[in-house]
Amino acid sequence: MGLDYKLVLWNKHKKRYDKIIALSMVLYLVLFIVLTVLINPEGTAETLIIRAFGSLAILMLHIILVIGPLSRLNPQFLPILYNRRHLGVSMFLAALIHGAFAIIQFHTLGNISPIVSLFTSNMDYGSLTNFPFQVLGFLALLILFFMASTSHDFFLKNLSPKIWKGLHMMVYVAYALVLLHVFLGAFQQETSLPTIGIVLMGFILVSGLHITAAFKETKTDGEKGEADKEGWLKVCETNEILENRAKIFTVDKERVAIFKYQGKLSAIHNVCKHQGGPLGEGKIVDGCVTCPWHGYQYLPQNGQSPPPFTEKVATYQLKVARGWVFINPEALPEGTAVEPTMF
Amino acid sequence: MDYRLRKRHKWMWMTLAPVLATLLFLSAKSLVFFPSSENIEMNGIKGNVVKEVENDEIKVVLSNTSEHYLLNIWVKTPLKSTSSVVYEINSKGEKMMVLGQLQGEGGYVFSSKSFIRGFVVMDEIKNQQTLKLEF
Repeated sequence: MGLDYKLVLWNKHKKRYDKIIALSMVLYLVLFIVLTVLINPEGTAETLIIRAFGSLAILMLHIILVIGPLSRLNPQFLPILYNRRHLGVSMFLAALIHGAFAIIQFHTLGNISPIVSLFTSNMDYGSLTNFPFQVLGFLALLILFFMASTSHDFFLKNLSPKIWKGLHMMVYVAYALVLLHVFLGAFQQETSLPTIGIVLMGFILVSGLHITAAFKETKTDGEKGEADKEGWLKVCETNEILENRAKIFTVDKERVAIFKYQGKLSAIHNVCKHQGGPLGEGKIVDGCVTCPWHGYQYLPQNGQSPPPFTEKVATYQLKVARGWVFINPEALPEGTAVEPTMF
Repeated sequence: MDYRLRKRHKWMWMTLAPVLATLLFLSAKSLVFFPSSENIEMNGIKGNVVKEVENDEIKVVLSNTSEHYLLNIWVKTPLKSTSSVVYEINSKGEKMMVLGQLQGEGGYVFSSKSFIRGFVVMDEIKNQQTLKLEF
Protein backbone atom coordinates (compact mmCIF):
# COMPACT_ATOMS: atom_id res chain seq x y z
CA MET A 1 0.00 0.00 0.00
CA GLY A 2 1.24 3.46 -0.73
CA LEU A 3 -0.15 6.93 -0.12
CA ASP A 4 1.45 8.45 -3.18
CA TYR A 5 1.87 7.10 -6.68
CA LYS A 6 5.35 6.37 -7.92
CA LEU A 7 6.03 5.20 -11.45
CA VAL A 8 6.69 1.66 -10.29
CA LEU A 9 6.98 0.42 -6.70
CA TRP A 10 9.67 -2.23 -6.72
CA ASN A 11 10.56 -4.50 -3.86
CA LYS A 12 12.95 -7.43 -3.64
CA HIS A 13 10.39 -9.94 -4.91
CA LYS A 14 9.22 -7.74 -7.76
CA LYS A 15 12.80 -7.12 -8.88
CA ARG A 16 13.45 -10.87 -8.89
CA TYR A 17 10.23 -11.51 -10.80
CA ASP A 18 11.06 -8.81 -13.34
CA LYS A 19 14.58 -10.18 -13.84
CA ILE A 20 13.09 -13.63 -14.54
CA ILE A 21 10.65 -12.10 -17.06
CA ALA A 22 13.41 -10.11 -18.84
CA LEU A 23 15.83 -13.05 -18.95
CA SER A 24 13.15 -15.44 -20.23
CA MET A 25 12.19 -12.99 -22.98
CA VAL A 26 15.81 -12.55 -24.08
CA LEU A 27 16.38 -16.32 -23.97
CA TYR A 28 13.30 -16.96 -26.12
CA LEU A 29 14.30 -14.31 -28.67
CA VAL A 30 17.86 -15.62 -28.92
CA LEU A 31 16.62 -19.20 -29.34
CA PHE A 32 14.05 -18.18 -31.95
CA ILE A 33 16.57 -16.15 -33.95
CA VAL A 34 19.29 -18.82 -33.83
CA LEU A 35 16.88 -21.61 -34.85
CA THR A 36 15.37 -19.51 -37.64
CA VAL A 37 18.76 -18.54 -39.02
CA LEU A 38 19.81 -22.21 -38.97
CA ILE A 39 16.60 -23.52 -40.55
CA ASN A 40 15.77 -20.66 -42.93
CA PRO A 41 18.85 -18.48 -43.49
CA GLU A 42 17.25 -16.60 -46.39
CA GLY A 43 14.72 -14.63 -44.34
CA THR A 44 15.15 -10.90 -43.91
CA ALA A 45 15.96 -9.27 -40.56
CA GLU A 46 12.57 -7.47 -40.56
CA THR A 47 10.66 -10.72 -41.03
CA LEU A 48 12.73 -12.36 -38.32
CA ILE A 49 11.98 -9.54 -35.85
CA ILE A 50 8.25 -9.57 -36.71
CA ARG A 51 8.00 -13.32 -36.19
CA ALA A 52 10.21 -13.49 -33.08
CA PHE A 53 8.37 -10.74 -31.20
CA GLY A 54 4.94 -11.83 -32.46
CA SER A 55 5.38 -15.40 -31.29
CA LEU A 56 6.88 -14.18 -27.98
CA ALA A 57 3.84 -11.94 -27.35
CA ILE A 58 1.44 -14.81 -28.06
CA LEU A 59 3.33 -17.15 -25.74
CA MET A 60 3.34 -14.53 -22.96
CA LEU A 61 -0.38 -13.81 -23.47
CA HIS A 62 -1.15 -17.51 -22.97
CA ILE A 63 0.93 -17.59 -19.78
CA ILE A 64 -0.84 -14.46 -18.49
CA LEU A 65 -4.25 -15.91 -19.21
CA VAL A 66 -3.65 -19.23 -17.43
CA ILE A 67 -2.29 -17.65 -14.22
CA GLY A 68 -5.75 -16.47 -13.03
CA PRO A 69 -7.63 -19.78 -13.33
CA LEU A 70 -4.61 -21.77 -12.10
CA SER A 71 -4.56 -19.63 -8.94
CA ARG A 72 -8.27 -20.22 -8.41
CA LEU A 73 -7.84 -23.96 -8.88
CA ASN A 74 -4.66 -24.22 -6.80
CA PRO A 75 -3.48 -21.49 -4.38
CA GLN A 76 0.14 -22.60 -4.92
CA PHE A 77 0.09 -20.51 -8.11
CA LEU A 78 -0.75 -17.31 -6.20
CA PRO A 79 2.89 -16.07 -6.07
CA ILE A 80 2.90 -15.90 -9.89
CA LEU A 81 -0.27 -13.81 -9.79
CA TYR A 82 1.47 -11.27 -7.55
CA ASN A 83 3.24 -9.50 -10.40
CA ARG A 84 1.09 -10.44 -13.35
CA ARG A 85 0.77 -6.79 -14.35
CA HIS A 86 4.52 -6.57 -15.04
CA LEU A 87 4.21 -9.62 -17.26
CA GLY A 88 1.30 -7.95 -19.05
CA VAL A 89 3.21 -4.74 -19.73
CA SER A 90 6.23 -6.76 -20.96
CA MET A 91 3.94 -8.72 -23.28
CA PHE A 92 2.50 -5.47 -24.64
CA LEU A 93 6.04 -4.21 -25.41
CA ALA A 94 6.78 -7.41 -27.37
CA ALA A 95 3.47 -7.04 -29.25
CA LEU A 96 4.22 -3.37 -29.94
CA ILE A 97 7.60 -4.20 -31.52
CA HIS A 98 5.90 -6.87 -33.64
CA GLY A 99 3.17 -4.45 -34.72
CA ALA A 100 5.50 -1.51 -35.36
CA PHE A 101 7.85 -3.55 -37.57
CA ALA A 102 4.92 -5.11 -39.44
CA ILE A 103 3.45 -1.67 -40.19
CA ILE A 104 6.86 -0.35 -41.26
CA GLN A 105 7.50 -3.32 -43.53
CA PHE A 106 4.07 -3.62 -45.11
CA HIS A 107 2.51 -0.16 -44.99
CA THR A 108 5.10 2.62 -45.13
CA LEU A 109 6.20 2.39 -48.75
CA GLY A 110 3.03 3.85 -50.25
CA ASN A 111 1.88 7.46 -50.48
CA ILE A 112 -0.91 7.13 -47.90
CA SER A 113 -0.77 7.04 -44.11
CA PRO A 114 0.39 3.63 -42.83
CA ILE A 115 -2.67 3.36 -40.57
CA VAL A 116 -5.04 4.18 -43.47
CA SER A 117 -3.12 1.67 -45.59
CA LEU A 118 -3.54 -0.96 -42.86
CA PHE A 119 -7.32 -0.64 -43.04
CA THR A 120 -7.70 -0.11 -46.78
CA SER A 121 -4.96 -2.06 -48.56
CA ASN A 122 -7.09 -5.21 -48.37
CA MET A 123 -10.85 -4.70 -48.21
CA ASP A 124 -11.76 -8.37 -48.57
CA TYR A 125 -13.59 -8.47 -45.22
CA GLY A 126 -16.07 -11.05 -46.47
CA SER A 127 -13.43 -13.69 -47.17
CA LEU A 128 -11.95 -16.12 -44.68
CA THR A 129 -8.99 -17.04 -46.85
CA ASN A 130 -8.03 -13.47 -47.70
CA PHE A 131 -9.33 -11.63 -44.64
CA PRO A 132 -7.36 -8.45 -43.76
CA PHE A 133 -5.93 -10.11 -40.67
CA GLN A 134 -3.57 -7.25 -39.84
CA VAL A 135 -6.59 -5.16 -38.80
CA LEU A 136 -7.39 -7.76 -36.10
CA GLY A 137 -3.84 -7.58 -34.78
CA PHE A 138 -3.98 -3.79 -34.76
CA LEU A 139 -7.25 -3.77 -32.78
CA ALA A 140 -5.77 -6.25 -30.29
CA LEU A 141 -2.71 -4.04 -29.95
CA LEU A 142 -4.94 -1.03 -29.20
CA ILE A 143 -6.67 -2.95 -26.40
CA LEU A 144 -3.32 -4.10 -24.99
CA PHE A 145 -2.01 -0.52 -25.17
CA PHE A 146 -5.05 0.72 -23.28
CA MET A 147 -4.58 -1.97 -20.65
CA ALA A 148 -0.82 -1.45 -20.27
CA SER A 149 -1.22 2.31 -19.96
CA THR A 150 -3.91 1.99 -17.26
CA SER A 151 -2.22 -0.84 -15.38
CA HIS A 152 -0.87 1.46 -12.68
CA ASP A 153 -2.56 1.80 -9.27
CA PHE A 154 -3.28 5.46 -10.06
CA PHE A 155 -5.90 4.38 -12.62
CA LEU A 156 -7.11 1.55 -10.41
CA LYS A 157 -7.81 4.03 -7.62
CA ASN A 158 -9.38 6.71 -9.83
CA LEU A 159 -11.47 4.47 -12.05
CA SER A 160 -12.60 2.36 -9.04
CA PRO A 161 -11.61 -1.32 -8.79
CA LYS A 162 -14.94 -2.48 -10.22
CA ILE A 163 -14.66 -0.42 -13.43
CA TRP A 164 -10.91 -1.07 -13.71
CA LYS A 165 -11.36 -4.83 -13.42
CA GLY A 166 -14.25 -4.77 -15.87
CA LEU A 167 -12.19 -2.80 -18.40
CA HIS A 168 -9.20 -5.09 -17.97
CA MET A 169 -11.37 -8.08 -18.83
CA MET A 170 -11.04 -6.72 -22.38
CA VAL A 171 -7.90 -8.86 -22.45
CA TYR A 172 -10.17 -11.77 -23.40
CA VAL A 173 -11.39 -9.84 -26.45
CA ALA A 174 -7.76 -9.04 -27.30
CA TYR A 175 -6.96 -12.76 -26.99
CA ALA A 176 -9.76 -13.66 -29.41
CA LEU A 177 -8.53 -11.03 -31.88
CA VAL A 178 -4.94 -12.29 -31.61
CA LEU A 179 -5.96 -15.90 -32.26
CA LEU A 180 -7.98 -14.89 -35.32
CA HIS A 181 -5.11 -12.63 -36.46
CA VAL A 182 -2.83 -15.68 -36.39
CA PHE A 183 -5.28 -18.10 -37.98
CA LEU A 184 -6.59 -15.81 -40.70
CA GLY A 185 -3.21 -14.29 -41.38
CA ALA A 186 0.06 -16.01 -40.82
CA PHE A 187 -1.37 -19.49 -41.25
CA GLN A 188 -2.96 -18.56 -44.55
CA GLN A 189 0.45 -17.60 -45.90
CA GLU A 190 2.64 -20.29 -44.46
CA THR A 191 0.58 -23.26 -43.43
CA SER A 192 2.33 -25.32 -40.81
CA LEU A 193 0.50 -28.12 -39.00
CA PRO A 194 2.78 -28.12 -35.91
CA THR A 195 2.32 -24.37 -35.42
CA ILE A 196 -1.45 -24.62 -35.84
CA GLY A 197 -1.43 -27.53 -33.37
CA ILE A 198 0.52 -25.55 -30.76
CA VAL A 199 -1.81 -22.53 -30.99
CA LEU A 200 -4.90 -24.78 -30.85
CA MET A 201 -3.50 -26.54 -27.78
CA GLY A 202 -2.94 -23.13 -26.21
CA PHE A 203 -6.54 -22.14 -26.89
CA ILE A 204 -7.86 -25.41 -25.46
CA LEU A 205 -5.67 -24.97 -22.36
CA VAL A 206 -6.69 -21.35 -21.74
CA SER A 207 -10.43 -21.81 -22.33
CA GLY A 208 -10.46 -25.19 -20.55
CA LEU A 209 -8.81 -23.78 -17.41
CA HIS A 210 -11.09 -20.74 -17.34
CA ILE A 211 -14.24 -22.83 -17.72
CA THR A 212 -13.07 -25.41 -15.15
CA ALA A 213 -12.26 -22.66 -12.62
CA ALA A 214 -15.60 -20.96 -13.32
CA PHE A 215 -17.56 -24.16 -12.64
CA LYS A 216 -15.58 -24.78 -9.47
CA GLU A 217 -16.48 -21.27 -8.28
CA THR A 218 -20.16 -21.79 -9.22
CA LYS A 219 -20.22 -24.97 -7.16
CA THR A 220 -18.79 -23.10 -4.16
CA ASP A 221 -21.26 -20.24 -4.71
CA GLY A 222 -24.13 -22.72 -4.47
CA GLU A 223 -23.06 -24.12 -1.09
CA LYS A 224 -25.60 -23.46 1.65
CA GLY A 225 -24.77 -23.76 5.33
CA GLU A 226 -27.03 -25.34 7.90
CA ALA A 227 -29.02 -22.63 9.72
CA ASP A 228 -29.94 -22.57 13.42
CA LYS A 229 -33.29 -21.33 14.83
CA GLU A 230 -32.21 -17.68 14.51
CA GLY A 231 -31.10 -18.12 10.92
CA TRP A 232 -27.36 -18.04 11.69
CA LEU A 233 -25.35 -20.40 9.50
CA LYS A 234 -23.15 -23.15 10.92
CA VAL A 235 -19.61 -22.69 9.55
CA CYS A 236 -17.13 -25.06 11.20
CA GLU A 237 -15.57 -26.01 14.51
CA THR A 238 -13.27 -23.39 16.03
CA ASN A 239 -10.28 -25.74 15.91
CA GLU A 240 -10.64 -26.07 12.12
CA ILE A 241 -9.28 -22.54 11.69
CA LEU A 242 -5.53 -22.07 12.07
CA GLU A 243 -4.14 -19.21 14.18
CA ASN A 244 -3.84 -15.95 12.16
CA ARG A 245 -5.53 -17.65 9.21
CA ALA A 246 -9.07 -17.80 7.91
CA LYS A 247 -11.83 -20.15 6.91
CA ILE A 248 -13.59 -19.01 3.72
CA PHE A 249 -17.34 -19.56 3.85
CA THR A 250 -20.07 -18.83 1.28
CA VAL A 251 -22.93 -16.65 2.46
CA ASP A 252 -25.63 -15.86 -0.10
CA LYS A 253 -23.19 -16.49 -3.00
CA GLU A 254 -20.59 -14.14 -1.54
CA ARG A 255 -17.41 -15.31 0.19
CA VAL A 256 -16.71 -14.38 3.79
CA ALA A 257 -13.34 -14.82 5.51
CA ILE A 258 -13.51 -15.83 9.19
CA PHE A 259 -10.19 -15.09 10.87
CA LYS A 260 -8.88 -16.56 14.12
CA TYR A 261 -6.35 -14.57 16.13
CA GLN A 262 -5.37 -14.25 19.77
CA GLY A 263 -8.35 -16.29 20.99
CA LYS A 264 -10.80 -14.21 18.93
CA LEU A 265 -12.81 -14.62 15.74
CA SER A 266 -13.80 -11.91 13.23
CA ALA A 267 -15.52 -12.12 9.85
CA ILE A 268 -15.06 -9.78 6.89
CA HIS A 269 -16.00 -9.86 3.20
CA ASN A 270 -13.43 -11.96 1.35
CA VAL A 271 -12.85 -9.55 -1.56
CA CYS A 272 -10.01 -7.02 -1.32
CA LYS A 273 -10.93 -3.49 -2.46
CA HIS A 274 -7.69 -3.17 -4.41
CA GLN A 275 -7.99 -5.79 -7.13
CA GLY A 276 -10.48 -8.25 -5.73
CA GLY A 277 -7.87 -10.50 -4.12
CA PRO A 278 -9.06 -13.29 -1.76
CA LEU A 279 -8.47 -11.88 1.74
CA GLY A 280 -9.23 -15.25 3.33
CA GLU A 281 -6.20 -16.75 1.61
CA GLY A 282 -4.00 -14.17 3.30
CA LYS A 283 -3.01 -14.04 6.95
CA ILE A 284 -2.97 -11.65 9.88
CA VAL A 285 0.27 -9.65 9.93
CA ASP A 286 0.85 -7.05 12.66
CA GLY A 287 -2.80 -7.34 13.70
CA CYS A 288 -4.11 -6.70 10.18
CA VAL A 289 -5.66 -9.04 7.61
CA THR A 290 -3.17 -8.87 4.73
CA CYS A 291 -4.26 -9.55 1.16
CA PRO A 292 -2.12 -12.27 -0.46
CA TRP A 293 -2.09 -10.49 -3.81
CA HIS A 294 -0.65 -7.04 -3.14
CA GLY A 295 -0.45 -6.68 0.64
CA TYR A 296 -3.46 -4.39 1.21
CA GLN A 297 -4.43 -4.52 4.90
CA TYR A 298 -7.67 -4.41 6.92
CA LEU A 299 -8.41 -4.53 10.64
CA PRO A 300 -10.33 -7.77 11.32
CA GLN A 301 -12.70 -6.19 13.86
CA ASN A 302 -14.08 -3.46 11.56
CA GLY A 303 -12.92 -4.25 7.98
CA GLN A 304 -11.20 -0.86 7.69
CA SER A 305 -7.70 -0.28 6.40
CA PRO A 306 -5.55 1.18 9.17
CA PRO A 307 -5.25 5.01 8.99
CA PRO A 308 -4.36 6.88 6.84
CA PHE A 309 -5.76 4.39 4.32
CA THR A 310 -9.46 4.48 3.54
CA GLU A 311 -10.44 1.10 2.07
CA LYS A 312 -13.32 -0.65 3.81
CA VAL A 313 -14.99 -4.05 3.44
CA ALA A 314 -18.25 -5.43 4.88
CA THR A 315 -18.20 -7.18 8.23
CA TYR A 316 -20.31 -9.99 9.70
CA GLN A 317 -21.43 -11.04 13.16
CA LEU A 318 -20.23 -14.33 14.59
CA LYS A 319 -21.09 -16.49 17.58
CA VAL A 320 -19.65 -19.68 19.02
CA ALA A 321 -21.86 -22.43 20.48
CA ARG A 322 -20.52 -25.77 21.76
CA GLY A 323 -17.29 -25.29 19.82
CA TRP A 324 -19.07 -24.47 16.56
CA VAL A 325 -18.78 -21.16 14.74
CA PHE A 326 -22.01 -19.57 13.46
CA ILE A 327 -22.33 -16.54 11.19
CA ASN A 328 -25.16 -14.06 10.74
CA PRO A 329 -25.72 -14.05 6.95
CA GLU A 330 -26.71 -10.37 6.94
CA ALA A 331 -23.67 -8.35 5.85
CA LEU A 332 -23.08 -5.16 7.83
CA PRO A 333 -22.20 -1.92 6.01
CA GLU A 334 -18.55 -1.66 4.99
CA GLY A 335 -16.31 -0.68 7.88
CA THR A 336 -18.86 -1.47 10.63
CA ALA A 337 -17.12 -2.40 13.86
CA VAL A 338 -18.11 -5.79 15.31
CA GLU A 339 -16.90 -6.95 18.69
CA PRO A 340 -14.63 -9.98 18.04
CA THR A 341 -16.13 -13.27 19.24
CA MET A 342 -14.13 -14.90 22.04
CA PHE A 343 -13.92 -18.66 22.29
CA MET B 1 -13.57 -11.56 -7.22
CA ASP B 2 -17.10 -10.94 -6.00
CA TYR B 3 -20.11 -12.91 -7.18
CA ARG B 4 -20.99 -10.54 -10.05
CA LEU B 5 -17.46 -10.57 -11.43
CA ARG B 6 -17.23 -14.36 -11.14
CA LYS B 7 -20.50 -14.65 -13.02
CA ARG B 8 -19.32 -12.23 -15.72
CA HIS B 9 -16.09 -14.22 -16.10
CA LYS B 10 -17.98 -17.45 -16.43
CA TRP B 11 -20.40 -16.22 -19.09
CA MET B 12 -17.64 -14.49 -20.99
CA TRP B 13 -15.73 -17.76 -21.34
CA MET B 14 -18.87 -19.83 -21.92
CA THR B 15 -19.55 -17.53 -24.90
CA LEU B 16 -15.99 -16.94 -26.08
CA ALA B 17 -14.88 -20.59 -26.11
CA PRO B 18 -17.53 -21.98 -28.53
CA VAL B 19 -17.58 -18.84 -30.74
CA LEU B 20 -13.79 -18.78 -31.04
CA ALA B 21 -13.61 -22.57 -31.52
CA THR B 22 -16.13 -22.29 -34.39
CA LEU B 23 -14.24 -19.44 -36.05
CA LEU B 24 -10.91 -21.24 -35.66
CA PHE B 25 -12.44 -24.42 -37.11
CA LEU B 26 -13.81 -22.53 -40.12
CA SER B 27 -10.51 -20.76 -40.77
CA ALA B 28 -8.48 -23.96 -40.28
CA LYS B 29 -10.84 -25.73 -42.67
CA SER B 30 -10.14 -23.14 -45.34
CA LEU B 31 -6.37 -23.47 -45.05
CA VAL B 32 -4.55 -24.74 -48.10
CA PHE B 33 -1.84 -27.22 -47.21
CA PHE B 34 0.63 -27.01 -50.05
CA PRO B 35 2.40 -30.22 -51.02
CA SER B 36 6.07 -30.16 -50.15
CA SER B 37 8.07 -30.21 -53.36
CA GLU B 38 11.47 -28.81 -52.51
CA ASN B 39 14.95 -30.07 -53.32
CA ILE B 40 14.46 -31.30 -56.83
CA GLU B 41 17.63 -31.38 -58.87
CA MET B 42 18.08 -29.16 -61.93
CA ASN B 43 18.84 -32.19 -64.08
CA GLY B 44 16.00 -34.22 -62.58
CA ILE B 45 13.25 -33.09 -64.90
CA LYS B 46 10.57 -35.71 -65.45
CA GLY B 47 8.94 -36.04 -68.86
CA ASN B 48 9.54 -34.06 -72.01
CA VAL B 49 10.58 -30.43 -71.86
CA VAL B 50 7.85 -28.26 -73.40
CA LYS B 51 9.01 -24.74 -72.50
CA GLU B 52 12.06 -23.31 -70.73
CA VAL B 53 12.83 -19.84 -69.39
CA GLU B 54 15.87 -18.77 -67.36
CA ASN B 55 17.38 -15.60 -65.94
CA ASP B 56 19.78 -14.74 -63.05
CA GLU B 57 17.12 -15.26 -60.38
CA ILE B 58 14.98 -18.12 -61.59
CA LYS B 59 14.83 -21.05 -64.00
CA VAL B 60 11.47 -22.42 -65.11
CA VAL B 61 10.90 -25.58 -67.13
CA LEU B 62 7.48 -26.83 -68.20
CA SER B 63 7.51 -30.54 -68.95
CA ASN B 64 4.86 -33.14 -69.56
CA THR B 65 4.47 -36.79 -68.78
CA SER B 66 1.74 -39.11 -69.99
CA GLU B 67 -0.46 -37.97 -67.09
CA HIS B 68 0.55 -34.46 -66.02
CA TYR B 69 2.12 -31.20 -67.02
CA LEU B 70 4.89 -30.36 -64.57
CA LEU B 71 6.02 -26.85 -63.70
CA ASN B 72 9.64 -27.05 -62.49
CA ILE B 73 10.91 -23.91 -60.77
CA TRP B 74 14.41 -23.31 -59.46
CA VAL B 75 14.78 -20.22 -57.25
CA LYS B 76 18.43 -19.14 -57.51
CA THR B 77 18.50 -16.13 -55.17
CA PRO B 78 16.76 -15.51 -51.81
CA LEU B 79 13.12 -14.48 -52.12
CA LYS B 80 12.45 -10.84 -51.27
CA SER B 81 8.85 -11.31 -50.18
CA THR B 82 7.63 -13.00 -46.99
CA SER B 83 4.98 -14.97 -48.83
CA SER B 84 5.29 -16.42 -52.36
CA VAL B 85 2.27 -18.36 -53.54
CA VAL B 86 2.30 -19.70 -57.11
CA TYR B 87 -0.94 -19.45 -59.13
CA GLU B 88 -1.63 -20.88 -62.57
CA ILE B 89 -2.94 -18.27 -65.02
CA ASN B 90 -5.48 -18.62 -67.83
CA SER B 91 -5.23 -17.45 -71.44
CA LYS B 92 -6.29 -13.93 -70.38
CA GLY B 93 -3.45 -13.76 -67.87
CA GLU B 94 -5.83 -13.97 -64.88
CA LYS B 95 -4.77 -15.98 -61.84
CA MET B 96 -6.58 -19.28 -61.43
CA MET B 97 -5.86 -22.19 -59.07
CA VAL B 98 -3.05 -22.35 -56.53
CA LEU B 99 -0.18 -24.56 -57.63
CA GLY B 100 1.91 -24.26 -54.47
CA GLN B 101 4.24 -22.12 -52.45
CA LEU B 102 7.88 -21.06 -52.79
CA GLN B 103 9.71 -20.99 -49.47
CA GLY B 104 13.20 -19.94 -50.45
CA GLU B 105 16.08 -20.95 -52.69
CA GLY B 106 15.81 -24.43 -54.20
CA GLY B 107 13.87 -26.48 -56.68
CA TYR B 108 10.10 -26.98 -56.78
CA VAL B 109 7.79 -28.99 -58.97
CA PHE B 110 4.05 -28.41 -59.31
CA SER B 111 1.73 -30.57 -61.37
CA SER B 112 -1.40 -29.86 -63.37
CA LYS B 113 -3.59 -32.12 -65.48
CA SER B 114 -3.91 -29.49 -68.21
CA PHE B 115 -1.40 -27.36 -70.07
CA ILE B 116 0.02 -24.60 -67.88
CA ARG B 117 -0.12 -21.36 -69.88
CA GLY B 118 1.87 -19.47 -67.31
CA PHE B 119 1.98 -18.56 -63.64
CA VAL B 120 2.10 -15.64 -61.25
CA VAL B 121 3.84 -15.49 -57.89
CA MET B 122 1.83 -13.51 -55.34
CA ASP B 123 2.94 -11.97 -52.05
CA GLU B 124 -0.29 -12.73 -50.18
CA ILE B 125 0.54 -10.51 -47.22
CA LYS B 126 1.10 -7.42 -49.34
CA ASN B 127 -1.45 -8.65 -51.90
CA GLN B 128 1.08 -7.93 -54.66
CA GLN B 129 2.22 -9.80 -57.73
CA THR B 130 5.98 -10.39 -57.55
CA LEU B 131 6.46 -12.40 -60.77
CA LYS B 132 4.44 -13.23 -63.88
CA LEU B 133 5.50 -15.60 -66.62
CA GLU B 134 3.51 -16.67 -69.68
CA PHE B 135 4.72 -19.47 -71.90
